[in-house]
Amino acid sequence: MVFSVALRFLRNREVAEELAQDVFLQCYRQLDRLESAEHACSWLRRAICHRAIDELRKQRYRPAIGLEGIPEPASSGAMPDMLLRDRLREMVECLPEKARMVVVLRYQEDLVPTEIAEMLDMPVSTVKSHLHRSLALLRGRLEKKVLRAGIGLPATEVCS
Amino acid sequence: MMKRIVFGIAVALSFVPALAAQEFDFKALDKIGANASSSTNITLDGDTLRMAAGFLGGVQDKDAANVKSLVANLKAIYVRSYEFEKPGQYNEADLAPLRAYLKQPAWKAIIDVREKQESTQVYLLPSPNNKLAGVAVVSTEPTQVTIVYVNGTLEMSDLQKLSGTMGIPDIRQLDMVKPADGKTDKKAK
Amino acid sequence: MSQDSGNFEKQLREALGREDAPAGFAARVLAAAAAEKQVRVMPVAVAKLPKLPKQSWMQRPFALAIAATIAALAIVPAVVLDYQRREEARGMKAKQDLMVALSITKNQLQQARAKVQRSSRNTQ
Repeated sequence: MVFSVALRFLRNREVAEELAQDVFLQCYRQLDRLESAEHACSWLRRAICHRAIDELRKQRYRPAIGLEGIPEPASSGAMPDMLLRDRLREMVECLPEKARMVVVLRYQEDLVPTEIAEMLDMPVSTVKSHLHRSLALLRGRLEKKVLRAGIGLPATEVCS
Repeated sequence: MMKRIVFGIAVALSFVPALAAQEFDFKALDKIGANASSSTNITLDGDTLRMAAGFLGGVQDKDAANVKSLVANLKAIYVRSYEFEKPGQYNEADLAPLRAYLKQPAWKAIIDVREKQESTQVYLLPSPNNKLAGVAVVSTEPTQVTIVYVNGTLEMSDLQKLSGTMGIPDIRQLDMVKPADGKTDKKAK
Repeated sequence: MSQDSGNFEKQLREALGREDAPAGFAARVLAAAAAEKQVRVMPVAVAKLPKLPKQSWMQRPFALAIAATIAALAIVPAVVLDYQRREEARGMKAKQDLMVALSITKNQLQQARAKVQRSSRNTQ
């Protein structure tokens, strides 16, 4: 869970592993303060969220490509797109940091907005707003690329 | 113009359900090798590829660096190679799932050669910025079937490296140790 | 529209599904914890762990269980070494498989090229 949250957020395996290891060691140092397995799990999740956001802010690395550089899915709607999952992950990576973490906690960890709000120290309304806007943005980007590909236009566009 | 818009909307609306389809499952090809006298079955995922590249100490430095650079952005390599004692021991129809998969518009068949009873196809999966997202080779002969699928980001120049400029040993030079039953089953995963 | 939304959210869940930590991750964490413990606390025998009052033991059984497990990390170095040897064997096998896979790929691409050249010579 810890490594996975870091990986989905940062999309850099080496940094994700490094952060996850740090968080586990931090947990180990604070064992006496943990009261139950649930407490530990919640602590770990919260710790990796904040560490991952801090890591991103340090700008030790950048996303490999912007939304406009992500290859379009197969142009025919009847055919499967084997890289869809990768493309979706790449698109999530292009979301702003807080929105990105909200999406990861919602769709990887299955947390509800109130839990996400508590984890990230933000109002529930802000969490819901991030979710709503991010989903709309991701859906719109994906469908726009298909539409353009379907009528023979190139997929390049300005990332706005 | 109106037809194009309608077509575009139809594509967009049909896009979402279609996205639920799975990636190609190589288990679908297991039937081909049922009667093989010798088989090579290799599946290397991203982690295993990187692990393997980290152990390339025995290769000359430049070659090792080339291989490491090549596999750094790969997600997986699949190899299925089967040899049969005589013709007619495999069913071409068992390749149908793979052929159907590679017939998707995104894949481009750059080589399609058929002569006598042999056929070879090479497919590329283009991605933006003159890169590739996949390479596939399907080769059939009366007593041999070989499938190679490289999944991940490659530069166009990587194709040349894969074709032999990277210090990769010739397949005949590799010591393929065969167990007593004559089957070589080299599974990495 | 809501069905499309549901489908999209399902795809997002699949895309963002949990991914396992890399091979050896747990061992590395344990090794780091053991190393840290040895640096901070000397080779502390289990007997030297402070006895917690009954009340605090009752209140934090989870923490004590983990602490007891970690105390047993005195034997981790040997376990880690064994794990490292197995990892090395895995790595060597993976390397061999990689070279075989690349060799077959090279062979197939060269053969394809040769067939194309032969075919174009025949049609000339």
